[in-house]
Amino acid sequence: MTISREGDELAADTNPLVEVSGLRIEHIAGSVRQELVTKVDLQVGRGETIALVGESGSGKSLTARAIMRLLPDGVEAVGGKVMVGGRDVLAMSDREVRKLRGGEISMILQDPFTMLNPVTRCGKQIEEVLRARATGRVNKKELRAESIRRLAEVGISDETAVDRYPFQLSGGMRQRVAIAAALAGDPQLLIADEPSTALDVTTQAEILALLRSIQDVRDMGLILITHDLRVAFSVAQRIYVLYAGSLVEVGATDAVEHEPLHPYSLGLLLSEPATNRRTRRLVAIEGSVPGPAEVADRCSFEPRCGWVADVCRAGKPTLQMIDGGRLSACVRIAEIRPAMEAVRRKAVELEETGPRAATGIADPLLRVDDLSKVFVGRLGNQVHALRGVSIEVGRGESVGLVGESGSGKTTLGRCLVGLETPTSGTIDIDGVAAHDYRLATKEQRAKLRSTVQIVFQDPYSSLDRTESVGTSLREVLSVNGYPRDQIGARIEELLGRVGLPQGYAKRRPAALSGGERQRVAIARTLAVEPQLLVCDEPVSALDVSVQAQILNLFRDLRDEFGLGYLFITHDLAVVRQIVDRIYVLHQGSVVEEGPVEQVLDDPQHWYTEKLIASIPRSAA
Amino acid sequence: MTRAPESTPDEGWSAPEHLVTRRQWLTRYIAIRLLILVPLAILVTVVAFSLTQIAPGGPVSAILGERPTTPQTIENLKVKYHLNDSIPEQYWRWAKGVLTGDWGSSIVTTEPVLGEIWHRAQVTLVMTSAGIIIALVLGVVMGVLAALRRGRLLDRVLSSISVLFLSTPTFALALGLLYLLGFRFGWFPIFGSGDWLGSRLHHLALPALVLGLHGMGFVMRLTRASMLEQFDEDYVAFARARGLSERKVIWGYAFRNALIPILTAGGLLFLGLLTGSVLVETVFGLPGLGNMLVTAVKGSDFPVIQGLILIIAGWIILVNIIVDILYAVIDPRVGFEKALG
Amino acid sequence: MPSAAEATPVRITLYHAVRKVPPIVVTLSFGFVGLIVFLALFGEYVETYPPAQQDLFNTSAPPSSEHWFGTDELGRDIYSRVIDGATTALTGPLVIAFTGMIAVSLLGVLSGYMGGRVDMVIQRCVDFMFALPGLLIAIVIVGVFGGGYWMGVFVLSILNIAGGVRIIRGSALEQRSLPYIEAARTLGVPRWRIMYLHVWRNVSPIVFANTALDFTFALVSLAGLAYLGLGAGPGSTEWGQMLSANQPLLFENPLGVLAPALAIVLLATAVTLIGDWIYDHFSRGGRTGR
Repeated sequence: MTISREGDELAADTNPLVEVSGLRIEHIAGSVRQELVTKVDLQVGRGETIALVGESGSGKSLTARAIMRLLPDGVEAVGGKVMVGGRDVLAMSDREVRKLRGGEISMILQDPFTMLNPVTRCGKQIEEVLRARATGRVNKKELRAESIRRLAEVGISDETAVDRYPFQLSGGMRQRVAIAAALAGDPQLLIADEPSTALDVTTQAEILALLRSIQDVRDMGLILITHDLRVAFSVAQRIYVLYAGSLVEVGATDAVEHEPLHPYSLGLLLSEPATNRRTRRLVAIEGSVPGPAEVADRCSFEPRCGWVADVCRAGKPTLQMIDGGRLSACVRIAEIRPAMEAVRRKAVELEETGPRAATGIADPLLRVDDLSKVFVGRLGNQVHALRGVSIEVGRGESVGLVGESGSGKTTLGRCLVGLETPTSGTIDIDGVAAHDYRLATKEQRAKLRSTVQIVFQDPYSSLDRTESVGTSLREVLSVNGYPRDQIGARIEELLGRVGLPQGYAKRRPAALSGGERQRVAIARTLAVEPQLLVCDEPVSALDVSVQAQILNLFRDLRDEFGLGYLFITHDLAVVRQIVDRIYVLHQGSVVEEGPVEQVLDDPQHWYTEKLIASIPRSAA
Repeated sequence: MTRAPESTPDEGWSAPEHLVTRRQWLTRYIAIRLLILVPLAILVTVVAFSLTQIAPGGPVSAILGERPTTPQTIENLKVKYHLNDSIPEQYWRWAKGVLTGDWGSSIVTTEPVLGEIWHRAQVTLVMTSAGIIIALVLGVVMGVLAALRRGRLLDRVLSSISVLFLSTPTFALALGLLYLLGFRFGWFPIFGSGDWLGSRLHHLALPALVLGLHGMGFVMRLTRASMLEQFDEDYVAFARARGLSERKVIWGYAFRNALIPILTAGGLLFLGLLTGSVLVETVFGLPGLGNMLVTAVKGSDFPVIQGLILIIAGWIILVNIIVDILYAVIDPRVGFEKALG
Repeated sequence: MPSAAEATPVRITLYHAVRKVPPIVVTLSFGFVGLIVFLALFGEYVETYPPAQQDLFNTSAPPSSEHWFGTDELGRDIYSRVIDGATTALTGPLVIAFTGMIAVSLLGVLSGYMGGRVDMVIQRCVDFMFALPGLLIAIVIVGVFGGGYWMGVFVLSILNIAGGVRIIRGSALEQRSLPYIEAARTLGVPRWRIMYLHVWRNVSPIVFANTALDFTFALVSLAGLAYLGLGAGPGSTEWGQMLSANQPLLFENPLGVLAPALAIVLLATAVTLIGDWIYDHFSRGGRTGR
């Protein structure tokens, strides 16, 4: 099956399904108004897929919800038009909008675990849409048969699925049921809001493929909302890049992929870790995403841009036509285009040369042997999280644990730091038996603590929100017997190591961005001078532009202090940038291990192959 | 420019093999709840029985009250009531009596306790049931309305009403309504229980209304909070995105899910109204169980107190079991989550 | 992976949109509670007659310029007696609320954080106590064993903690699995410090809001006991007791009879609203519960 890309003729469809122009969205609390989305224009034609790409706070979800008239309370579309079939959705009555929803435009949301009514059977959730759109009396049996047919369309061939409750299905299955329910009214346009983000890597690839094929077969319009450029490239024909509430670039997929025409798009593209090679240093965008109100009177990217000039602060730039029918909001694009190109080239050249010394481990710091963990439910149901896993990590070595949810990778990490006690098997950490922390003496526990530490995924709950950064660090230092009179200096030193200015000791977590919180969490573990850091998906909750900053920090700490990592992740691109060797886990067992390049470039196990195949690639 | 091949679903269902199916679990769940009845019943009877033992002055004065006594009358009494037997024997004899319908007689009126309770339970039951219905209907409707108009004037007004009724003691509300509706407007009788059926119901109307309004504050607050939580859920947004009617979204989605916490609070509501009925019966001079309890307690009428403890404890246990079972039936997730651990 | 970065802005927006108690109402509530505290401490300077002073020539009088709320059946000034009752109205409930606050903090956090057997034992006890009708038990115990007002305070202090322990346990359990607590564990922070510093501080808004609810419950229950003649002794200025004593005058002098009832309702409402406000204000992203 091939499709033609109409990227070069932007908005070739003269009669688009949906045409958004000058959309402005505000948060209204009493008399306080705050702009969330500034003048967004976009259009989708029949059979066309576009992607709205942006990080958190970019306004991409709000834009989508505005098209559906489903904005949350207190958030309103205050300006612009959303034209569907010649009528403005924003001006419609509630009754007209309800007719539009489901039948002309439908939408699926990010989290398949919360999207379906938990107390209603799956079949019924499809049937109620069919029933709502049917004219006259409907036959129960026919409805059921139709919903079985609809489930088959999304790849669920098991007829019993109609009688199941959502909680009985896996995430991927639920997302399929949700797609079937969303399509039950045969809409011409589907909005998919991060449809694969909450899913496992392999399932994610399946859902994206499913969306592509359904869009193709039904000749629908599709708006894909995502924070992941790779996902956008793999599905869409045209890309809209949003930043802090406004569009910064619009263009055909391959054009944007090959030469982004806005410093932000370029930064975003470059901060994506490469999947097929290791770069010496990731290109990170400094700072974090501002609120739309902070940059209302200038270019949204001005605070973080490397090419900033006075003209960037002179007012909010609008999209300008660049050659080849592309749009960019950068006022200096003509001047800096060559410089951007140079940066892009340099980033590609930053490849690390030659394989690193991945020699055998003479003196392992950590040795896990035949480790098993069984969780026992209330009525005796057993879940085997780990089935006889053995791994080794040398001093100063960085090792990756790769797998999807349910692979046992997190359980293994938690066992190492004593948050979970394995059912059987041994853990040896620098000569101390650590399979059961309760059996260790006080001295042994202190030694274990100062050898292995853990960094968690969610930076938002990694810190006690009731105390300042300094207090957090002080507590760790003092309970570990650090001399009282040196604590102040040590706190500053720790903050410096993770790249935070000294004043941050006084700040509370609420005043920090996600990346800054993760830095503090890392500084806190460094307080006990560990040799090995267990990192449990430490960047997956962060914005892409911030991910690269944190990954660079991990590298710096390794180079400067010889810190080793056990990097737990589902993201093969991330793991490639940071570790020497990897273990691939599948359903509680190690299925493959070896040097990272060797395993990723020449996988031996089918599951590893499947993981690699699931990385989104542009269709080009 | 080849597309990825048609996707295949991820293998199998996520739920691991169930060792216990939901039906089995539900049967077990109900069986366990019924089995717990046995130790609970023993516990309640022991508590009721030991009340006379630990009362000031012991069982003798519990039976005699404050009447003047001689050693001879005490001895006669001890023989008559088998008070010289060991305590377990006395308990066994008393418990057998309870099981066979002999709940003893009131010291004050010498009426048999069980008959008196049976007679008076009707008043309390009618009043409390009517109260619960009023509380549920008004509370749920107002809670849903307030949630729908979140932050608007109607929400403000309804929420204020709920807080007011929630923190107004039943007896204060009773006195207020007695004055206003009973005396000022003359809609309801002011005292007593009436003689024929219609008049009796008329006499119970105001007390039931007081209980209902009191419970309404609680139910409304819970419904509103519970509904608001549902409105933030993704599945409500997704239902709207599929073009389902607002009625379907509100009742089939939001309310259907909000019902679960409301139902689990049913036991609490019953407890609150039962307590409230004691005060309300006193205010209105109604011959119900609450009034009976207060009189018995003040007159140290132990057989009556014991009987009332049994009957009230029985009600509470029954209501809690019904709520537990309904909860498990209404929420399909309950069994699975527990069965999976 | 559900991305927290994505979810946060909308959540915060939604939360702000639900702000419940308007500031003016909060101010009024604090004002009324302040007034009652003032009357409890310095009431004697505002009373127009000594509250126990009888005037047998002027009994059951309607409100007048001399007796603002009228007099009771023994000719005592109702206005002065209502003011005198403020002290009793605050003492018992404060004792119950503070006992509750301490017990709920200790047991709830312990039960939620420790889990295992400790949790099971505490939970079984609490579940049982939760199904008990507190006021009815107080009626029986005060009636059978005597002890009046303070016996009522004692019984309610104990029976009252069950609900709070349940709520705090649930919140502590939620906190336990959060990374900041797990990080404290792996970094060697002592267990008691994690429980009673970190966990407690993070659930404290719920503790305080619960304490406010406890106060209301205690106020209403103690007044109920007194109304039934099982609390404060006859002749005392306890508001519930006054209601019951003055009830025969209801149709002649509604203001005088209902004044103590109004005082109870206003105080209870004000404290409930303050509890709501504490919960709204201090637990960001918190959910509205019972």
